[in-house]
Amino acid sequence: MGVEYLDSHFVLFLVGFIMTRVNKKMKNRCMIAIAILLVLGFGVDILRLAYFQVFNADEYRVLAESGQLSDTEIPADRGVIYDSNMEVLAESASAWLVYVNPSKIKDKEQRILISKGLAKILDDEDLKWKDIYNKIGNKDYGYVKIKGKIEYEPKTKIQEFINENDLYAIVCIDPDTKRYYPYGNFASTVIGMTNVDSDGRVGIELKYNDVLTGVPGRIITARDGHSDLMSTNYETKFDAEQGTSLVLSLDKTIQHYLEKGLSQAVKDNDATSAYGIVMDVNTGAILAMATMPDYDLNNPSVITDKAVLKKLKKIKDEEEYAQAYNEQVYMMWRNKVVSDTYEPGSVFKIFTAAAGLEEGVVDINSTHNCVGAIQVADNRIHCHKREGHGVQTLTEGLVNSCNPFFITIGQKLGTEKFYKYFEAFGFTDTTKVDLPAEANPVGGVTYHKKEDMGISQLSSSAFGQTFQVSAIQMITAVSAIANGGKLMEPYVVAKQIDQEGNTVYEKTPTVKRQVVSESTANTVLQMMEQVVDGGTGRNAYIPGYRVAGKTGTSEKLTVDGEYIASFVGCAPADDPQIAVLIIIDEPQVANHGGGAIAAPVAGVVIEQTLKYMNVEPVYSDEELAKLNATAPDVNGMSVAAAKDTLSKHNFNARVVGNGDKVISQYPSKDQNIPLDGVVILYTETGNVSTTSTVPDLTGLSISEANKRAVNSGYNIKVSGASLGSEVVSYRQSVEKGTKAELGSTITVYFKTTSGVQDD
Amino acid sequence: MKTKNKLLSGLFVSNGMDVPFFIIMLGLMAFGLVMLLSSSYAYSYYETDGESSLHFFFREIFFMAFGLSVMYFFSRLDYKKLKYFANIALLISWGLVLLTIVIGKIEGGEINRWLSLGFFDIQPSEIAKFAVVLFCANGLDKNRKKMVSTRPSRVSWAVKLADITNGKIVFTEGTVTLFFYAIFVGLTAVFVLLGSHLSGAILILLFGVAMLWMGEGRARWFVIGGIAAVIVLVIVINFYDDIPILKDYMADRIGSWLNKDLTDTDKRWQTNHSLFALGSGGFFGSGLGNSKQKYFYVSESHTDFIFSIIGEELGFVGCCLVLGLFALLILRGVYIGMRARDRFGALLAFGIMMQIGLQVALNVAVVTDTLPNTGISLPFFSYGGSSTLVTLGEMGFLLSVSRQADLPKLYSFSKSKKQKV
Repeated sequence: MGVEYLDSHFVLFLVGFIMTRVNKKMKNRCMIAIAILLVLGFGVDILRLAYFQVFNADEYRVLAESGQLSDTEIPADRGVIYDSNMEVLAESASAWLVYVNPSKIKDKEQRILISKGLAKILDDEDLKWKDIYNKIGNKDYGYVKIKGKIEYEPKTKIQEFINENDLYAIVCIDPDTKRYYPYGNFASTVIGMTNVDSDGRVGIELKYNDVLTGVPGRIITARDGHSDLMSTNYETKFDAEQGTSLVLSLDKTIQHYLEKGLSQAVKDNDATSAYGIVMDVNTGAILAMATMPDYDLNNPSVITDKAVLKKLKKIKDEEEYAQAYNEQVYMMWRNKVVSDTYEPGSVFKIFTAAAGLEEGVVDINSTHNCVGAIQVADNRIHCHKREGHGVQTLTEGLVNSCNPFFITIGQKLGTEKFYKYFEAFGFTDTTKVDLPAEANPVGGVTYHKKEDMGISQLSSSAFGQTFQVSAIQMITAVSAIANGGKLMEPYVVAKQIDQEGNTVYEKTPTVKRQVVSESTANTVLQMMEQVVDGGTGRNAYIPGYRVAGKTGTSEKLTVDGEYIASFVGCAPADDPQIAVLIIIDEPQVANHGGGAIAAPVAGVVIEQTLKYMNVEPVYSDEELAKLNATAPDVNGMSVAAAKDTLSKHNFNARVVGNGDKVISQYPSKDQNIPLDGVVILYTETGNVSTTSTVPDLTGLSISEANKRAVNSGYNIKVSGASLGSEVVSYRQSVEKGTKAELGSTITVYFKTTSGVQDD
Repeated sequence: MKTKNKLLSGLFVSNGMDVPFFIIMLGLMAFGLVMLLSSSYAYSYYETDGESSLHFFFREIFFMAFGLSVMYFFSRLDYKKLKYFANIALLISWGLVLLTIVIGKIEGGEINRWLSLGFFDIQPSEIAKFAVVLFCANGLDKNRKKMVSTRPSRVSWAVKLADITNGKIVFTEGTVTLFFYAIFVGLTAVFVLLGSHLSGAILILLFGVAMLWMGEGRARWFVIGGIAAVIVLVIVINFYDDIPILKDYMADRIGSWLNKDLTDTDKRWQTNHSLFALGSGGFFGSGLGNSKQKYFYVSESHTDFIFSIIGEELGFVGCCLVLGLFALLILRGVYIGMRARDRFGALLAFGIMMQIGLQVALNVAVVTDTLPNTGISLPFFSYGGSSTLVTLGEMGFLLSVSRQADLPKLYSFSKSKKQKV
């Protein structure tokens, strides 16, 4: 074998030399070819690899990771908004969002199944099954959000839908949050609401968005090219942190009083809107703030105001309608107290008076003879009382709201000093209240600049005309009169508390400046009390409480023939706690004065608020005489004896049934009953509670109303202005024509119509 | 055996084959299998609906095992006998390529490079590649004298051309022969291009030219050809949208290669994610099996783009190792060729190694976005029956050449081992 092997090799060796073997030229060419391959091919490849893997690796790694890592945000709950008594006004709750992974949808059939299934469960006008169908068409996408802020019930239905149809990883549910406003319309223009992305859109939600917004958590996971989770255990989780909660100075009860008064005012006066504010005069804390009509925070884009809807209905063009609708929605969200300016009218006279007293150009005993008009430069300015008020003291001037008197005070002050106080009371600057979109006063636009203030401008400004202020400026300035001359910085948010309930911020009342001396402020306040006691503000009179106030009525500068009526009041006048400002915009009633329509509203709000705040009423004798008494016990007496007992106590009796003895009475023993009221005496068993029809008790004097009520078997409770004989009832707590139990008490609201005109 | 059948014994050679080449090749195969497993299991799991992560791995093992036996069989064949099949092989490969096109047209498919044999799909362009090598090696060996001849050609058209130009343009016999083979190479490339396999066509052109170069064609024609190629390239790059031969998808790929938009998730998805994978790997790589881009980011991560996964898992170092192994294989293969016992063997070995080398270079160029995205597989690494079988078959022929080559004994399996037994 060995020989054979050698042989064959030897032969091969020889053959190799005989045959044409590789020559030198070929070898050279081979080397050139291989060199080109290795240098141009492999060499360039290695340079390129080095470029991507050595020199620019990070850039490409980041790009790779941006594709691989999926960063899912865990939404953070927004902070809660509480009222001053820790009642929840706005809070976030867990919700869910549903999304679809179109890249995993198998076929058209499944796409239709998903679209129809989700549309049915979500039941959304704007999310018909065709919409969903179109949304999830692109197979390149791994994530298409269908809807967020889904509540628990539809969420479980979607979960069932996924289970039943085996749609795992195709239809998915992620956590989300939703903002709830438990009281709907309540304080809507103040609180505001959030948008789809849970960012504050208006109101406190907007102003404090950064504070309320929490820190979202994150789940970082690795996903493959099909958007599925990678099998690697690669997940990092950061928990979400709830946003800071706010405790408002707003008090739910006072807010409720104010809102009720304002919405009634809109209705009664057919006004376009009414807005008002209740402020703690000593701190600047806003206890209540409202604009009517308002809107439901849970459905912020739904207009409910019938007048507005009627106006909108006339627009036929669809696009135009949508635009107009949108405008109206924005209008509805507007917090007019802060964002709108209005002509203060006679209310401003209190500041002219304060400035005059402080500067000594007038004193409490100064007099002025009003002849019904005054000449200012080329113009003759009339007093609202054409025949003139005659000789009056400063207090009487304010009580009568006499324009010429205040023009003379303004002129005595001169531009320099008048402007000084105009500025000092804060009318040239924003109040810095912690609410968004505060109207910014502009010299030369909303008020007269000092350098432009000639005698005419000075004179008209002195009685509150030809300039505008915002309601928040006005109430802050009035509070300065009420609290002894200190201009406060108004605020709505009193406290900020973190997730654990720790206070992280507490507002300390800020005094901006002492505007006038305490004595000047007190003097003006006393004068204002006279306005309510016997002047234009008497409709804000409340038995047992001392109220100081001032009315205002002005023609709107911007809209011809429309008026704006206002009333500002402080109470109790001897130790003011609260200031209330009520503004009624464009009232459509003949008697559109602030004293006629705004003062009664303010009166009711002040009364309710003071009682709620446990301010003890102190009654005068005259008031006491009108106070309610309690019913004596006539049960078991004979009808005649009962009648006798009742009449002795100045009560009327009404017998029901034919029995001889009283077996039941209403009101029963010790229940409140007005003097001259009626007690229903039941004489037959089985007939101890009878209803009847409530009569119309409006448009009457107190005694007339009482008589009519008693004749129908009802008692009345007098509310509102009750002094003097010229008061007229304008509303009753139980509507006429409705059924009510005999003997029950109906609150009747009175106001006066004479002597309250102020322009 | 020798005495049993004279006819058969003439077909076979019993000398030892080249061990270094064989070992380098086995190393590449083993490396390739490991990387194939790593790059394919996610896709396999997905494709088989969770049944198997090893689907492609097992199939490739089967292909390799089958390929290795084919290789061994071919290595024992006397490669010189291939000469008899050289011309017919080219014709058959043309037939198969054209058949694929026709079937594709009938079925109405966009791209069809595959010919179904029922149990197995073959890619005729793979066969065409080897057919070109074989055809050129045979022809250029047989017609060497004509190739180097400087006599004026007596071919009728060349004579006519000389007459018309008054003897100013006279083609030599060598030039005409060169043209003859160039036309065959070109035709094959055109057929493959018609079969929608642009990369295959380019590859055939490139190593075809390399073979003509080795066949001692006159250098000036290669310089002229090179200049022409550059002009064509410039035209293609600038006017790819308006060239009718280029199909829409080809123009698209050139376009998306030129724009280099890293945010494109449509046309550049594959290329961009390949680059992201390379960058993620960095210098040392994220470690074997740790690629994230193979999770459906780099499409074809187990076939044409397996190199990007190598880059991600083994880094720049691993990439250089792979390229280095290929370089070694090519150098050894070409060395074997240069020491072959005849010109045919040398040309065959050179052609095969040039084909492998170019395929590697172009594959990596595509993966690194150096060239437009075309489907070129990476020998020994990419999954695929056709390419594995053809590659290993070619290796077999190369080993066959090595058996008769003038190589130091130390490195060859020889009968001396058997003597010890």
